[in-house]
Amino acid sequence: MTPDPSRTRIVLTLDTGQVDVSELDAMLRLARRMNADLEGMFVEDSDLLRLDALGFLREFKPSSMRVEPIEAGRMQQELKALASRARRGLAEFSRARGIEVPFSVWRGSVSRELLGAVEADVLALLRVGAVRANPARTRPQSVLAVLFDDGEEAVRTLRVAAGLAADAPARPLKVLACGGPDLAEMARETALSFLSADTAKPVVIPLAGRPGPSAVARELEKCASTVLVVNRRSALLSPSSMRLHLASVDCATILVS
Amino acid sequence: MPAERLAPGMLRPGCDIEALGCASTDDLEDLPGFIGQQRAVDALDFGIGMRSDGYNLFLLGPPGVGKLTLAHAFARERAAAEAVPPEWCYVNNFDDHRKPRVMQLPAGRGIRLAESMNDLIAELSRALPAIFESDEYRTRAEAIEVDLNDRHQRALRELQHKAESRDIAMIRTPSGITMVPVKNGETIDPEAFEKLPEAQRQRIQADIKELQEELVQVFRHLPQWQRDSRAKIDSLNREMSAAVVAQLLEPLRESFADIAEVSEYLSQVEQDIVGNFQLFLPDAKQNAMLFGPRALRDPDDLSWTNRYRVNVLTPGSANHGAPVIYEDNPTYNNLLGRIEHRALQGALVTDFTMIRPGTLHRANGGYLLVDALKLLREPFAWEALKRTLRSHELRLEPLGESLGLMSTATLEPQSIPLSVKVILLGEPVIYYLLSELDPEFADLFKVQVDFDDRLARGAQSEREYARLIATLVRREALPAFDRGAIGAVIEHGVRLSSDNEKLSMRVGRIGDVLRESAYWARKNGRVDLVTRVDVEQAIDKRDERSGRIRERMQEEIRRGTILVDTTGEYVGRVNGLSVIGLGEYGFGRPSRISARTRVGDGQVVDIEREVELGGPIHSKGVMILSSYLGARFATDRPLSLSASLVFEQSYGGVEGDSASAAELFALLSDLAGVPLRQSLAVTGSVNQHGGIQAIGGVNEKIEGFFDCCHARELTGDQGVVIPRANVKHLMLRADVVAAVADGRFHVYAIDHVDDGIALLTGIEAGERGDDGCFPGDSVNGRAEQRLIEFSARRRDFAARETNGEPGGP
Repeated sequence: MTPDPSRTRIVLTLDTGQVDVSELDAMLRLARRMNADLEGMFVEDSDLLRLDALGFLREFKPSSMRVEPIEAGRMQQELKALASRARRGLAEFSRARGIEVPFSVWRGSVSRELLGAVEADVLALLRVGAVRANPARTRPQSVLAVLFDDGEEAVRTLRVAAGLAADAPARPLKVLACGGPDLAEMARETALSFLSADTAKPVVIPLAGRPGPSAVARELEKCASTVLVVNRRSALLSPSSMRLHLASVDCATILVS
Repeated sequence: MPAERLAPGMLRPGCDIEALGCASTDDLEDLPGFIGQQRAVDALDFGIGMRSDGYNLFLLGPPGVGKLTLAHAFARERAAAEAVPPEWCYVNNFDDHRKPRVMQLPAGRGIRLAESMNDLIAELSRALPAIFESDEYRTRAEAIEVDLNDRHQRALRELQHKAESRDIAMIRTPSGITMVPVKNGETIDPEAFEKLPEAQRQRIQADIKELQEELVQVFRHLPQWQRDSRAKIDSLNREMSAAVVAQLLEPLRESFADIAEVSEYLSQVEQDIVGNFQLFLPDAKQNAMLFGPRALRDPDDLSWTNRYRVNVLTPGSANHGAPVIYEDNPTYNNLLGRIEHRALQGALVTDFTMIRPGTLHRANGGYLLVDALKLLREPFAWEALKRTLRSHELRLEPLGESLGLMSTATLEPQSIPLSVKVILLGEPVIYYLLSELDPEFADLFKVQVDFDDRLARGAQSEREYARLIATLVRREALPAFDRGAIGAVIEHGVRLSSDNEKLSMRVGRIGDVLRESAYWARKNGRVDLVTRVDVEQAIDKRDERSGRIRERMQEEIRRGTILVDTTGEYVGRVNGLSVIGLGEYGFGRPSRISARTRVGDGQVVDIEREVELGGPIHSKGVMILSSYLGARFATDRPLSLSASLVFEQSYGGVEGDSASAAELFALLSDLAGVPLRQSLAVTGSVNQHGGIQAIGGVNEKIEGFFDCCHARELTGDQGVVIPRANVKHLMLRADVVAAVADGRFHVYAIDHVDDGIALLTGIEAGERGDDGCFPGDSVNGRAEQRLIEFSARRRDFAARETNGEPGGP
C-alpha cells in the first residue's frame, strides 16, 4: 500500500523479531495523539551480511555461549526468520486492538541509508543495535529523554516527546539541551508549553556544545532513560556517528523528522 | 387318673383387671426400668462397666424383647457420665502426603482448628498477594533486578568503551554479538581492511580476539550473577511471606499453645507456606521472573487449598459425654470408614480431606451397637471388626485395594488408637453358632447378655406389665387404654408366651398390638380411649390378615377333600393335630392318622419315615411305641406284630413327636378291634411307660380342631385330648372358651395312655389283675389277646417252615 503523503507517519522498526507490546502501545497512543498512521518495519541491515568477508570475525551466541565464524548465508536466513516473527507479532498486536498496522521489510545500511530512505515523520528505532542482557526487565517503566538542539526541528521533536510524556505524567521528561544556558531556558519554556498541566515539570539537563554518542549515552544512563527522542537531522545521527550511537545508547531511539 | 374334662376357667385364665388398680393407662406411671430381664440387666451392667480387654457384649434374645432399647438406655446412661472423647483429625503429612498424619485434640478444639485453618487459607489468599504487590516489595525486588542488570550492563559498557577506544564496535547480529573494526563510525569494509598495513590488521585482529574473549567472560559470569540475584529474590520472597504467615499464624499458635502436637504441626504449616507462597498468588499475578516457575507437581498431588486444611473425623461436643452409636447398616466401609476419590483428567485422585470416618471412628471412646446378623451378612465386615478389636487401632485399608480390585493411587493414613465397647445384638442361635464356629469370638465378646422372652405371671407382674403398656402407649402418643383393654393386652401377652403362667416379653409385638388397637378404636369412633373390643378386634384382624392358608385348609376339610371325621367311630383311625407355622403366625391342622396291624416280627413301620417325609423326632416317637407295646403286652413272648402308621393326606413332611399318643391310640384300636371316637382329636407325646407328655402349640391345635368342628356344627360331643402337662399352657380363644362353657366343645387332660384310650373308645383300658391278665373285655385285654394270637400264628408258621410244610412263610 502506497503511503498517503498528506498523512503523518510513524514507522516502528522491529528488528529483534520480538514485539514488545508496551512499546507498541506507547507508539500507538502517540500515533493517535498526532493523528498519524502507524507502520511497522523490519530493518535488515546489509552491513551485517558483508561482515563474512572479514574471515577473522567471530559471532558470539550468548545463550549457547558459542563462538562461531560469521556466515552471510546463515545470517540471511536468520534475518528472514526474525522478519517473519516480527510480522506475526505485529499482526497479532493489530488484531487484538482492532487496527491495521502495515508491515514492510527494509534492507540497507542502517548507518548510511536508513534515515534518508525511510519517509516518516517519526521513526522509532526500537532497540536497533542495542546489546542488552535482559531488555524486557531492564526498565519496568519508560523514562523519556529528548535531545533538544537549536532550530525548528528541535521544537517539533519536543512536541512529539511531550506527546509521549503524557503516557507517564508523573515522570518528568528529561530534556538534554545541547547549547548554552539560553537554549536550556528555551527548552524548558517550550516543553512546559507542550506538556499538559497534570504532567510533571520537565527536567532540563544542559549539555555543552554538540555532544557525541558517548556523551549522550552517559547522560542517558545517568537519568536511566529508556527512550530517547531525537531529531532526524541531529548531528548525533550523522552517518559517521549513527552506528556508534546505536551501539552506545541503552534505549530505544525515536527519530522525528 | 381318668381323663379330666377341663373347666372353662382353666382354658383361658383371664387377667384380673380389678387388681390392676387403674381405670386406664392414664392412671399408671411410666415403668422406670425393665421388667423381667434382671439377668440381662445385671449382665449389661457388668459388661458395660468392665473396662478390660475383650469384654465386649453379645445381647442374645428373640426379636422384639427390647435388646436394642435396653442396651441403648444402659449405654447412654453410662456414656453421659463419661468423658467426651477427643477429636481425631487428619492433616497433611508434609514429608509424604500419601501418609496423612493423625492428631488428637480435646473435644471441640479440632473443629476450631479446622475453622481457623480455613480462615487462615482465606486470609493468606488475600494477604500474600497484597504483600507482593506492596511498594516495599516491588522496590526491593526491582532493586535486585536493576543491580543484576547494572552489573551486566556495566561489564558490557566497559567492554564497549574499551572496544571504542580501539576503533572496534560491538554490534548485534540476528542471534548474537560480534566485534567489528570501525573507522569514523563506519564499519570497515573488507576491501578497505585489506588495504590497511599488515601491522594494523594484525593489531585489529588481536584486539578483536582479546575483546571477544572478554565478551565471552562477561556472559560467562551472567548465570552466576543471575543465580545470585535469584537467591536474593528468593530470600526476599521468603522474608516477605514469612512475615505475613507468622503474623497470621500467631493467633492460632496462641490458641493451641497447650497442645504440643498442634504447635509442631503449625510450625510445619508455616514452613510449607513460606516455601510455597506462590500458590496463594492468583494465576494472573504469577510471575515466574520474580517468584520462580510453579513447581511441576504429581497428578495426584494435593490441591493447594486442601494442603493446609484439617479433616476432623470425629467432631465432638463438650456437652454430650461419650458417644453411643447404633450402626444400622454395618458394611465394611460404614464401619471402618473409606477414602473417597475424585476423577481428575481420567485418573482417580484423593487426599487426606477425602478420608471419611466409619462408625468405629465416631464410636471411639464410647459404645457401638450393631445387629450381629446384619454384620455377618456383610462381606469382610465381621473379620474387619475382629481385627480392629484385637489390634485396638483403626487402620483405613480400602477394601478394593486390599482385594487387588483397585490400582489407583490411594492413601495410607496413620492409624488411630481405638477404645470402644462393642455391643452385638442377635438371636441366640447366632450367639451359639459364633461360639462354636469362631474361635476368636469368645475372647472378643466375653459378656453374654441373655434376654428372657417370658416373665412369670402373677398379680404383681401383671401390674408391672400394665405400666409397661402405659409407657408404650405414651411413648407412641396413643390414646389411653382402659383397664379392659389393658387386660386384653395382658392376655395377649400371655398367649404370645404360649404359657398361661407367663407373660411374653416381646415388647415389639405388644407395641404392634397397641398401635393396631388404637387404629381400630379410631375406626370405631373412639378417639380418646381404647377398649377391650378394639384390642380383640386388632388381634382378630391380625389373625385374619395372616389366615388365608388356615381358612383354605379348613375349607378343604369342610368340603371333604381333606378327610377328617368329626363324628362317628372307626377302628384304627384317630384325629391327630399338628401346627403349621407361617413366620410369626401359626395355626393348628387336624390330620387323620391310621394304623394297621398284622402278624410280624415286632416292627412298627412309620410310613412317613419310609418315604422320607418324617423327621427324626417323629421317627423316635414311633419307635417308642414299639417299645411301649412290647413292654406292655409282650414281656414273656415275642412281639409278633407288624404295624404301619401313616399321617393320611400329608405331603409336606411330619416332624415332632406330638402325634405319638394319637398314633398309639390308633394302633391299640386296630389291635384290639375297638373303634375310636372321631369327635375327638388327640395331641401329646408318649413315653415308653405310656405316660403322656407335654407338646408345643397346644392352643393352636385345639383351636384348629375347634374351627373344623365349628364349621360343620358343634355337636357337644366334640373335643380335644391334651396332655395334662399342657393345661398350664392353655390360653384359648374366647370363642373356644365360650363353646366349652356352653358344653358344645370339650378339652380333656390325660396323664396316661390308658386314660385316653378309655375316653376315645368308651371302654375301660384295663389293668392287669392278680393273674397277670388284663380283663378280657378291656381294650388292653383285647389287644393282648390279639397279640397272643399273632404270636401263636407266628409260632405255627415257624414250625411249618421248620418241617417244610406248605403255608410256611
